[in-house]
Amino acid sequence: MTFRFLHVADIHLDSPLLNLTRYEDAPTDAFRGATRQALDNLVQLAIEEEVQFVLIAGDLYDGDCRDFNTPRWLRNRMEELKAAGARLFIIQGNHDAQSRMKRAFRLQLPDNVHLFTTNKPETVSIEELQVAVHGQGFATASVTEDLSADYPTSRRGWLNIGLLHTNCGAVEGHDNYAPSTIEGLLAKGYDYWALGHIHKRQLVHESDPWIVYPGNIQGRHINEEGQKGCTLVTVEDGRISSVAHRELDVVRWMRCHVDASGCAEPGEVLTSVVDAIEDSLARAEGRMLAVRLQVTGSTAAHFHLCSYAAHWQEQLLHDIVDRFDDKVWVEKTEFHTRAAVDVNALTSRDDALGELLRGIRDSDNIEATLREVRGDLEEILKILPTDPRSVDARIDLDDPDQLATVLADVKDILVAQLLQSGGAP
Amino acid sequence: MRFLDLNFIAFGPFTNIALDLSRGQHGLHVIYGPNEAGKSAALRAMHAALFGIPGQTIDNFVHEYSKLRIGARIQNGKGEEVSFVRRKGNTATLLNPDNPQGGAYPDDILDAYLANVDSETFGRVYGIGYEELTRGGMELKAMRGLVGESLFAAGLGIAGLSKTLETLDDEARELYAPRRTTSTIRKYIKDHKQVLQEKRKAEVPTSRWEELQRSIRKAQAQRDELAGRLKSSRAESGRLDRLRQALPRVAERGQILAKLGELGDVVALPSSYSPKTRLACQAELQHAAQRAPRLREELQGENGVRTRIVAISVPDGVLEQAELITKLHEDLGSHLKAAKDQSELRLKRDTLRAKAKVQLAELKPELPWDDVDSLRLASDRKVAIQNMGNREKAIRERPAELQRNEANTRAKLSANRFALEELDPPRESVPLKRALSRIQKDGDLDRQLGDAERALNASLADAEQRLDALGLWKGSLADFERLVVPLRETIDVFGRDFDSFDKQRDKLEDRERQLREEADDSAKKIETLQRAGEVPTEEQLSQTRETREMGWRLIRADWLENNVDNKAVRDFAGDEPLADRYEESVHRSDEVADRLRREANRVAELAQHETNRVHCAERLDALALERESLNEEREARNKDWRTQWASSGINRPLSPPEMRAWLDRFSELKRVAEEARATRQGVEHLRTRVTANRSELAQCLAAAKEAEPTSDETPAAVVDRCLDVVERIDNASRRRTELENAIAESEGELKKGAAERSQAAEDLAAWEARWSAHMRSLGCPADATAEDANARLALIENLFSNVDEANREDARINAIEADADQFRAEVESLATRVAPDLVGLPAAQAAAELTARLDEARTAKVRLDHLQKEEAAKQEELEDLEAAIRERTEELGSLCRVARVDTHDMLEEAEKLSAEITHLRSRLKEIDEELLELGQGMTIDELVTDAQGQNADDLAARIQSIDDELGDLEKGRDEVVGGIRELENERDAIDGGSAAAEADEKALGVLAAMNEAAGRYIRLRLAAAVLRQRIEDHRTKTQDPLLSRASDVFAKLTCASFSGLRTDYDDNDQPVIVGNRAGGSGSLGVEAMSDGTRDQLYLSLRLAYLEKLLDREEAMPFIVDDILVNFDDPRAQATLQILSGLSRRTQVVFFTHHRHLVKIARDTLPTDHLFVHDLVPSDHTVKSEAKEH
Repeated sequence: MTFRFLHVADIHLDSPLLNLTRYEDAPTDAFRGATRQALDNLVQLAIEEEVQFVLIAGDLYDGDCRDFNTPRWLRNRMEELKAAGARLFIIQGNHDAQSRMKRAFRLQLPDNVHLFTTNKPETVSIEELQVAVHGQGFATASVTEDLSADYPTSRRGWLNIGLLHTNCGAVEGHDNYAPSTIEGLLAKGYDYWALGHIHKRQLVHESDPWIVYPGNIQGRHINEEGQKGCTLVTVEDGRISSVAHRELDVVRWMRCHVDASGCAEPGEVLTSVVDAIEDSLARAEGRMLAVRLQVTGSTAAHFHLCSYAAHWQEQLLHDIVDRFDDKVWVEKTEFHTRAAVDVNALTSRDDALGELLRGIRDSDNIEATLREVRGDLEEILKILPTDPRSVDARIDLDDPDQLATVLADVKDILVAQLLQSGGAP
Repeated sequence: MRFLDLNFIAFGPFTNIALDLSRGQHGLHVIYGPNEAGKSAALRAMHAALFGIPGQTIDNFVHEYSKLRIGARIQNGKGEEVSFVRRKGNTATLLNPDNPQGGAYPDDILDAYLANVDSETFGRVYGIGYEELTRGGMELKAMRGLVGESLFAAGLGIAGLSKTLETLDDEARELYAPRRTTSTIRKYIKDHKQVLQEKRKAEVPTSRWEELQRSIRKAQAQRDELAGRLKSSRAESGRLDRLRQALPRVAERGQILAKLGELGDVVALPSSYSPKTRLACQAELQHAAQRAPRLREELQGENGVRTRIVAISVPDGVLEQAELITKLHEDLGSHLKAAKDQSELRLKRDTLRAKAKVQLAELKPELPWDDVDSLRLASDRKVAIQNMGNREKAIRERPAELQRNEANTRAKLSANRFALEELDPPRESVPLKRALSRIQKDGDLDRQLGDAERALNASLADAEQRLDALGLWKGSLADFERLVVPLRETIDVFGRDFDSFDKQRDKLEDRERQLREEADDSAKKIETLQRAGEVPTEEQLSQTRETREMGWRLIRADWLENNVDNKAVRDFAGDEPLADRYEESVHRSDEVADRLRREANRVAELAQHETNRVHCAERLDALALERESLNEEREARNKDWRTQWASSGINRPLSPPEMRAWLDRFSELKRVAEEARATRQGVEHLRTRVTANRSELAQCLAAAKEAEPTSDETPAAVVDRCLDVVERIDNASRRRTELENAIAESEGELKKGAAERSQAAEDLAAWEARWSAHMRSLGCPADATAEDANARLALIENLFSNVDEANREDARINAIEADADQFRAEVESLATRVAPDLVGLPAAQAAAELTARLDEARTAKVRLDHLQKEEAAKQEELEDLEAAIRERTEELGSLCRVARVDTHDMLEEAEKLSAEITHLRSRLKEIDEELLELGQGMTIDELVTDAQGQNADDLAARIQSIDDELGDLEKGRDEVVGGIRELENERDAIDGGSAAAEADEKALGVLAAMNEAAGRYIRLRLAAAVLRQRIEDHRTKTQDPLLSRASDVFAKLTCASFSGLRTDYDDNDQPVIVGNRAGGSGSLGVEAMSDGTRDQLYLSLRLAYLEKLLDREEAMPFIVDDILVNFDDPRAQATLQILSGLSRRTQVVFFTHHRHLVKIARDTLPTDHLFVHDLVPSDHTVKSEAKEH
């Protein structure tokens, strides 16, 4: 007998795409509801592949979700799967446990869905497939013990699947929730461990057993670059015969590096950027692109770009909208270009300009400068609203690393301004 | 550095304008150029000489870009000199003026003269113009005289520092300002707040959903309960209502039943009985009885119809001939008119005959009147004579015309014959054409040949280059083409073999490493085990046991055999007592045995590690051997590899993958070499074709007696010439054919002309003969002209016209006479038959009388017919009346039988009673039906019983109260249903919409934009702060020396209106520059100074700065452009003196277009400092002169 199932995790339904600055003609409509569109793709895939069941390894919801519309919408998708004859096995992840939707979630479950308990491991047997699914959800947002330790040992002669939301092997940079170890998982003698929590796809262990993080289904910020999707597993005669990645994302995040060396004027830089985006778009396999532009290289346009950053940024966005319509959203543009003129030579001259440039170059005591304007800056930082989810958020005036970056930018701005307005003969 | 010579060779408006700037130590050089003289072009030229001509220069309006040239000779501080010519371009723009064709100087030749000053700095620091001066003055005003800023602005030589600060501040303010609500960031904050509100509005908490579900369920229960109550109340209301409706009907029913009883056995007339029939019969009978007697009187009475009929008589004969009489009456009119016409006709006929007789007498008097017809002419003959007359002129002139034509033709013929003899002999163009057509099909062979040759060269060069790059093998291209190398498959086999060797070796090494690790591991474990305490061994056990046995043997020997071996005892026990020692040995052996048992695991582990270690060592040895043999095998294979390549002359082949790459290059080169060979063949083929074509054309040209191609004629030229020749031959041949055709045509015309002339003579003779015959017959002379003949013909025609008309009138007179006779005969015949009394009267009178009698007879007949009809009608009516009386009497009798009455007078009463009883019965039936319907299943009797004792007013009151209750219930139910609908709508609106999620995303987007703006704001604010600090630093460092020098200069420039400058403090405690008024009369702030004074202040600062710079750096010429325009004469004088002073330290070049400034300079400055140059491009000279005193 041959059948298939899907393994998906970290859907974070209705969580927003982060840091997408709104600008005129930004493709807001096209990018709207990306996580929903990706989930739609999942349902479509499940129906096309005629899968027997879908495993959701936690974090179906985002922690901040507080709108009952979200589970309502999800229920409709579950009903579609039900109509297609697919079952769903779900465990709660840390975000689900934190979500205000826990109760709403249960209210909205059709009967093809099984939600695992959170107080102890539970096993669901699918008689006709000879499959046993073991799982336990998060009871609270922060589970620090290894849940897998209490999972039962495998049922002999059956295909055993472990469904677990965990940071397996204590991966850096992720909350160390329900920490498990590869050895611990191997010891259970299962055929497949369907894990969730780490957003990057990862084959922790290949075959006998498979231990898989499918990654999340839709990147939501620049640190979730690249293709996103789920894992399609094929079972033949009681053994897993293939494990394949399938893409589901509708918006792809990318960093796009542009070398503007040799560009004589801002217009040429803009053209290079647009061309580079075109390349990136070609690599996005027909998906929409959320892109962070990083422009480097030494160019004669440097001063212009620095001095009139807002203007060129606007012009660039206009060109991009013009060229790519609603396929591309620019998340951020970083101009790290260098000047084409020999600033060093000017700096070393023994005249007033040289002295001024030297003074700026050597202005490393930002604390002193900061003292002058600190009051004003703190005032503005105080009134700005915040959101803990923002990526690369605002400047912390007490963080020396950030101040160093800011200072470098300030020097660029000043040099550009001075050389820009400095009179030629 | 300073300029010694400048030559504007070709620049702007200038052509070869030379300036000598070598005089003076450095010199103040005043260059005077009136407006349009190109002063500013000269300024640009000086700059361009040192730093190059800009790419987009405007100075090309006389000389093209490529021709622009500036010559210069300059000298540096060390006294070194260089002469050069600057051209426009990107590189190598410095030419040697002594050898302009001899290539350029290196680009860095001027470095030793420019002292690290670049173009931008030169313009900024070593140049000042009028515009910059005023801008500087304004800048000082904008800075409110702040010392730091002012010093800096002068030092930078730019007027943009305040602008820079302003730009930074403006952009920052645009982003955020504390009390500005429209700033970008404020706007973002507002947007964010708004979006969050949207989000909160769109969010539906779970509790809301649950609450809705609960409320809906509760409302549904309420609705169901209300529905039950409504149902039962409606039923009661219905019952009462029916009863209320039944009450009047029950009453009426009782009355009807009573009446029916009273009427008893009255007959109800059947439906066939009709009162209408009865009434009609009675009326008809009454009418007939009145009408019949009157009719009889009208028929038979004294004045009755029948009496009047007998009184009328009608004459029959006249009526029978009525048609004939009517016709005669009609003919009578025309008969009378014809008699009148006849006499007029006779008069006309006689007049015409008289005219004709006169004409005859004129024509032929001798002819009698009766023979006049012999003169009549047949019409064809008349036409023939007229036609001949018309042809007369043509036929007489024809011979002379033909003679003229012949003379013309002869003249043309002789001219054409002469032209034909003049033509060149004929030539053949066909062979040449065929050759050309073939050659043109080949196309442009020359170009093809050229292309092919170039391709061949390129191929060969490519091949050679590849051959050089091939590596490992050297030789010529020809040798290369013969080179044989191993097959790719061979290389692949070796490659796989080597790979396999490498893999095996890697495997062995892996295995070795593993074994070593394993051995180390075992060793470590052994060490660990041992370090944790000694591990007992079987060996130890047997040793301790042996010791114990030994002790026992010694004790036994001592104790039982009394045989002590002291030495053995000492060996065994040392200085201890034997028993103790033995006891200890027993303990030890027991302990070892115990431990062996107790620590069996450790023991076994140790043993296993030991074995493992030994085993690993053995395996390692075996692996070493294996590796050695593998190396040998590999070396043998390597030798085979080298052998494969030796025959190709490659002695040291690289590895197979590399050789595969080499083989790719080899194959590519092979392909290129083959291509080159193919190209070469193509070239040769083309050359053969070119030669063949040329010789074919040469042959054709010779055949056409044209010059053969010369060697310096190109193939294309030969072809063109051949085309010309073909055209010439074709033109000549066409001309010849035209001439020959013309000659043949003329000869034919001459022959035809001779025949025509004899024909014309014959025609004339024949005409003359026939004409004379005709004339004779008309009675004219034979040679009469055509006009004579025509006149005579007209006369004859006129005569016969009159004769013929007279004859026609005659015929009409005779016809009228015949008609009159006929009429008279008819009248007489009729009168004889109908009215003999009229016979003998004139016909017209008799006819009139007959007509009158006919009218009379007709009138009598009409009256008779009328009376007969009236009689018949009345008789018929009478008969009908009698029949009706009989029938109606019978009908009424039968109605009486039906109604059971004796006479028809009683019928009306019977009908009334019958109608009443029928009405009562039908009403009773209606009421019963209504009651049954109202009863809704109750019988009539039950209903009647139920209704008895009920009061209508009570019922209405009860119904009203139930209806009121129903109204309340319905209203309550509608409210509940409406409530349910609202709740359901609200619940259904929670359909999984994404508005909240979208608002959330939007809020984050706004936040991102806001953070971006905030980042920029912080940077801008910091940038402005840093810049201000740097300005302050500069001030502290430079203030004192610079200000004191500037103060001196300022005092001089203002002609001592000010005694100098000093620093003061403004309201914000910032140091500012103020001017000290002369004579200690206070000070003046920068803002309060006049524009001119402020300009002078700026100039003072600039000059002070420049002098400070000259202390440190190699001097550069100071270029001044007309800064004195707005200075009054004394201040201009002062400025010139200062500049003159400066010229001791560096060259000063002063451009002006004001003649009076030149004069002031001449009046003010010493000769050895001032040098004036006139810039006059029109006459190509510049007058350089020293001041003359």
